Amino acid sequence: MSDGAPAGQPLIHPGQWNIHYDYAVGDTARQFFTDLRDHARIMGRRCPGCQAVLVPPRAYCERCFVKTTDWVEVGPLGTIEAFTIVYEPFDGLPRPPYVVAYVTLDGASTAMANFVTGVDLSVPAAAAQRLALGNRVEAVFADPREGLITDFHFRLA
Amino acid sequence: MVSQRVGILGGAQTALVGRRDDVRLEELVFEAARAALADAGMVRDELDTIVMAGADQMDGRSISSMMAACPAGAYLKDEIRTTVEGSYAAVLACLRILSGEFETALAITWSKTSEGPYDLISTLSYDPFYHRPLAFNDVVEAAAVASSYAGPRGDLAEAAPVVVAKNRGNGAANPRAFLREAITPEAVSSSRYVAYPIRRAEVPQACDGAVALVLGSQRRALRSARPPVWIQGFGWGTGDYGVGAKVPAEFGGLRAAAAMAYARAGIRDPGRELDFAEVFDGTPYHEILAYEALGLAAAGGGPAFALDGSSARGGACPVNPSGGVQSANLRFASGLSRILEAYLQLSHRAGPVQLAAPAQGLAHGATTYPAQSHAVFVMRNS
Ligand SMILES: [Zn+2]
Repeated sequence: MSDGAPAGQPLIHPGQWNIHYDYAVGDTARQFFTDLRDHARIMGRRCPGCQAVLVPPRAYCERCFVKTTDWVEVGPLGTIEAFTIVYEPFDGLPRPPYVVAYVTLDGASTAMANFVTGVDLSVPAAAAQRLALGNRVEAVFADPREGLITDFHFRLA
Repeated sequence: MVSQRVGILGGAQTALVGRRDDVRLEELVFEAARAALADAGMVRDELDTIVMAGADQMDGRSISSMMAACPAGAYLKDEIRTTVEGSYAAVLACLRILSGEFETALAITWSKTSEGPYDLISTLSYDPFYHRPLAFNDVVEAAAVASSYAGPRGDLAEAAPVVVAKNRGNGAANPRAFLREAITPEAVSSSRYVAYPIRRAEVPQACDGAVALVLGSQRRALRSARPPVWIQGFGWGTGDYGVGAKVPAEFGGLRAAAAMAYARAGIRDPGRELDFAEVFDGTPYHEILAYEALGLAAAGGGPAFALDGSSARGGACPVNPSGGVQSANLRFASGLSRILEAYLQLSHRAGPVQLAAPAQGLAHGATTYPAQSHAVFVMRNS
């Protein structure tokens, strides 16, 4: 393909980006993470327009396009809306197998993602059946907690 | 606006390979731009605007369009880039032509993700507070989305391998495809799970390449070197971010894009009026959901549309006769490749994958696996 190019191995120059960011969490999520850390509870925000309880909380409802107002406690029980069992390793992700699910916590209008533990993943079809949509799970809180999303995970209820 | 059509005057795609080491990114862009101009029988002087689609994090260079603009033909010309999937280069190019300010445009996109750790890069696009710490990447998110669709569609898992086998079979005959070996549904359904319910054979190996189309106003297209193909209508739409906003997402962005394109093109019954469709099939689940969101199949009828052969070559509406993304995974750029394949079909230049006598077809692009944003084009050859 290269006209008049010398024969031989391609020449590859390595490149590397090591860039640190300091992401501002914002006041709304700061409250969420503080409640999670200090009180082991999951809080959502209610939209004054459509009354949806947004979990994780958002400072605004993107559909009604208004600011959200009240805090509402949700869970700890919830319903599986979507899940996957990761069986192959990926760059930068945990060692498989593991489960990530979207769960609508009781009292919430939207689904929230987190890991699900305590399911035998050795037989995919059997594991998938236990994680089927509509199945119930419960939020389990870590101790101690750091104010991160990984301060809790789900297990089958 | 409705009376004005944009014409496709020519187009080209570089030969797709797993990794291009003989050219750097901007040389790849130049190769596609030159080939598209040659196909249209035009020279660079005849281009009024250059529209690029690309994403810095995938290119491994920030503001990568600085380097790509001139190799795309933009030296001392109007140029603009969108950081959405490749099909959006065509959306923006059409809009610029319809504005009346430009007679001709080159829409171009590229993908050279062999140079970086794509899966890791895709993790970067997730929310840093709620999602990124939970081990998401494009494939993991797509798998979660697929599971949410499966609920009301018991036959989805059965249809997915059939879609892969159909597309890979089509791609095996297409000299422009990258993966050119057919695969049986049995081989697909016996391959390992990457992220349940998605199997290894349902996530196509990626390739490097660039795609470009030359577009023109109706007036300009009527005196083009080749018979033009007409963009009768196009639309685009963005759904919620992530499936967590409301599950299942059901491709709200694609429904909005299709409604817009159909309204402009006067399409009322897409399943009858479209002779074929080229859609985003990064996984077979994306294609099956597209059947429904595009109105080719009824709600919940996506899996049956694959299983009964409706989307196969020779079916009621062949989908991805080119082999689709399953046979040519140009990450973040495949939508423009779908438009090119639809253009070649309607120009009767599709080669071994040419359909008998297509008059009207559809092309669809989506923003890789989470598929938040979609673009739809309805095209005709008369
Ligand atoms: Zn609202």
